Amino acid sequence: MQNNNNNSPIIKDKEGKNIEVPVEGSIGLLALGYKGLMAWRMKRKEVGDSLNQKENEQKK
Amino acid sequence: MSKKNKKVLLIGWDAADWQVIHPLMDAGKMPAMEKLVNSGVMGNISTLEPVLSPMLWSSITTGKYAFKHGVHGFTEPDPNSESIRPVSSLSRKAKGIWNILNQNGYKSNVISWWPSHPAEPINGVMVSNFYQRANKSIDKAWEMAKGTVHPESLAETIAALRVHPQELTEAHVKPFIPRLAEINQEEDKRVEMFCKILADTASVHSAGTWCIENTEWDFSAIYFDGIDHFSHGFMKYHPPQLPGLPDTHFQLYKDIINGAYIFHDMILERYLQLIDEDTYIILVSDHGFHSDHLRLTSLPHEPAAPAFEHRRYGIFCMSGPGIKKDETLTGVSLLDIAPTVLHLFGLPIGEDMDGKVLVNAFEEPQKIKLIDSWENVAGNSGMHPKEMAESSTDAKNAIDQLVELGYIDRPDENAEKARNNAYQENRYNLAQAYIGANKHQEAIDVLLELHQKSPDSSRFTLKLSDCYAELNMNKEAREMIQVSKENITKEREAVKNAKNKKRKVNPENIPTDFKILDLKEAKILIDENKPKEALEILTKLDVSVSKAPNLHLHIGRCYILLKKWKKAEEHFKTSLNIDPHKATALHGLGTALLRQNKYEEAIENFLLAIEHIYNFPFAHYHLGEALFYIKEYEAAANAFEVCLSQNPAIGKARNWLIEIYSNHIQKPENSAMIEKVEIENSIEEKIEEQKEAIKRKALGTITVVSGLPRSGTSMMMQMLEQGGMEIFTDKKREADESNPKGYYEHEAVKGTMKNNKWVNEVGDKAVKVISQLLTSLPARYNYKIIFMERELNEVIDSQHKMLTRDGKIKEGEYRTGLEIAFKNNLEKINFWATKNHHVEILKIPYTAVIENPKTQAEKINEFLGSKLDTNKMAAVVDAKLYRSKV
Repeated sequence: MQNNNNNSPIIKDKEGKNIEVPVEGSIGLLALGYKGLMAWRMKRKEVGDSLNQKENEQKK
Repeated sequence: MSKKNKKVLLIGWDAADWQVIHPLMDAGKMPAMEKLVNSGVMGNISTLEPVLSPMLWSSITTGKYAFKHGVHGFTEPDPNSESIRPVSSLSRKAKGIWNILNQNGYKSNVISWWPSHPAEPINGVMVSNFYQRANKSIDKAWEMAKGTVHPESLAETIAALRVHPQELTEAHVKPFIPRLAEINQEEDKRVEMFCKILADTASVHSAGTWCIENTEWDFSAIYFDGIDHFSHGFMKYHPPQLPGLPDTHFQLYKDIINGAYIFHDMILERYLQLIDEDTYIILVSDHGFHSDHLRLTSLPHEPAAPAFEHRRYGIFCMSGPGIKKDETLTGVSLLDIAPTVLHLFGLPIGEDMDGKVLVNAFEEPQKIKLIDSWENVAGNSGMHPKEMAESSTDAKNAIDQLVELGYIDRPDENAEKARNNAYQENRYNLAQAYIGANKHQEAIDVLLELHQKSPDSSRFTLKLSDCYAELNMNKEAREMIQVSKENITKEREAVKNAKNKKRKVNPENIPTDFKILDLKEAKILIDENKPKEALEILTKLDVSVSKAPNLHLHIGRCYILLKKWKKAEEHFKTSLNIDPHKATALHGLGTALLRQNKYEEAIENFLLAIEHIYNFPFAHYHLGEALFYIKEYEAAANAFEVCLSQNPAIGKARNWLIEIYSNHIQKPENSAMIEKVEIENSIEEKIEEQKEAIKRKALGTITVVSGLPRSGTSMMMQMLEQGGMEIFTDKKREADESNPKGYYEHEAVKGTMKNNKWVNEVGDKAVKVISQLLTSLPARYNYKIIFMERELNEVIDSQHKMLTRDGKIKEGEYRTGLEIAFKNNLEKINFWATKNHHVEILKIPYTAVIENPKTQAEKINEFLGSKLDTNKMAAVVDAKLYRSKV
């Protein structure tokens, strides 16, 4: 796993393809350092936001 | 801007051990490690005493022993309060690598080094060792201690990169604990402990990668304590299953250690991706960790007991431009890291540093620059001002963490007692650091202070006995063994009767057992050259095999002294079966094989011993001997050179060198010594100068008066005394009719065959040694010997009269064979003097002194350097005492 762009939380494989970040995280993401951590947290936030949105919509 | 393109990344893995890494690498499960090993040098790294991490990592960054850098334990009395505090960046009195680099305009990142709180104001970023540990639940604010990050402006950014243990999910834990679902985490707190360590490791890595990717730097040092903490918590579950360990526990937690190493390999892979090919990378651990049958099933009843699980050898790898590829390095010490890093930056090494530059790692070694000391160099080093204090609240949190990890007991609620305990532990650690550096007298001074305060503690008396034995103070050593015996008895009773047992303690392990005392007594006997007595003790010992590699080591040493080589070989092999990494047993086995003329096998074992402990002069010495016998003269000369550089007192190595350079290597320009001689000289002159240069490596020159008893040696001693020389005598043997002016002897000299350490005390004095003892003088000194010659019949007659006067034989009763024995002895001395280059001999006929004392005095004076009053010397001679003339 690698990440060539300093500011992007997008994680890419050796061939440069984007890797889907699992919401539950992974050891691989932790081993990637702060970028893996940021990507994971961002994914959680996205999922959390969308869950919240769904919940809010259901409440409505 | 960083100063130059050259960069060094130093990664610390506390407690990482090749014993775990090698099988994983072989299985392809640590590819990054394999890449690093293949692209550079690797080897064992010897740790220091005591094996306590904050002391060791401070030695790594300073290149100095603990008694120089000032970090002496986990905690210390807090000078700003009445309590204690964890050791900190303020405890370290010597400059670390980053401080020296700071003074030379380089930028550094330092992440979580132990100890590094409060973060030092260096040119770069420092994240202290207080950074990673979460001490509150995830729903509460996770504050970061003030002073954790330098510069302060980065504190918020870097704080956000911490991973909280409760943030981790099943996806993080299952690779390490596949049967996680079967664990009741309400009752079994091991998963919680695991998550804390994993989160800590991820936090450090997160900060490390952020600094590497977002700052300009020349040097980065990132310290991970994960492997150490995983090992203390879970090594007992690592395969193979330990006897007595419940199978369910083994099955649940057996994958954690391998998983931890694999995770660290993934972390390493990330750093390899982030650095370019011009960056040097050094990966190092401070010690290893027992992962085999030497794992402890219960800890001794001592503070810092988890340190007993540490193995003496850690890991070392280095790669980068100009570093050899895929080679093994021997003799690496923790102390070598700082000098080597400074050398990589082209900076001089402090002569007060205890380590060396690892020159063998370089394809083309560069000249090493030296400086007296970096400590005296002015300029901003980024160290804290001395008056700086540390917040006591932060200190308390850190102490809680140390308690949790088992490194220290919960500090006593009584602040004064807690301070005293911390002081005592640090003094004890300091004494151990002295012992590790062979400074036994300094250790004794500290241990005696501790012993006075706590006379019932066996820890102190046991160490005192070791130190005394090392200094050949065997009487004191034995006294301390006796006191230890009494202390151990008291301590066992105290533990048995203790009402509040904090830790489950097996009384058999408190704090050691009497068998250890017998081993100590046997070791003293071996040092006294009494192998039979030592064997009597050792063969009676019934020590369980797993605990006593030293038992067989000592038995092997006894058989070496008894010249029973095969038996010695067997016992050294047994010792190595118990602990294959015991350098002393490898050396012993090599010696036993050498004496059986099995040179190749002997060499193999000596090299292994040296690989484990490079600073092992006798292993180099015997390696040299074995190489000599297989006619590898240059390699043999190298081995003897190393031996002498490590211990100039091993004078026999000088004789070997002279033998090799005189008779086997007619190319002195190939030897290390040639740097000191002129190139224009002829080969013969060069060899002569080499001999002189090698002689200069002796500890000093000792003046000896010798000869057969009753050959005029006392008269010669008297002449030297009157001429102005001091005499080495204890005056115990008083003047009598046989020697009316005194004997000028020292009792210790009589025991030279068994113990020649008295020689170290002689200094510039003249000492009387009868001819039969001359060959037992240690070759670590040069000797100028005034050898008295007298007609053998006169000698025998004079001895006879003396013995008759003393009533030891009857008048008219003569002992037979004396003349032949004396002749043989004189021939032996002549041969010895010509073969040994550290000996110069001046033969003085007794009758010539009687007949012409002034001429002989002048001859003697010239021999000894022309500092004596020859008139006074001559005036001593009393021809009336020439009574046995024949």
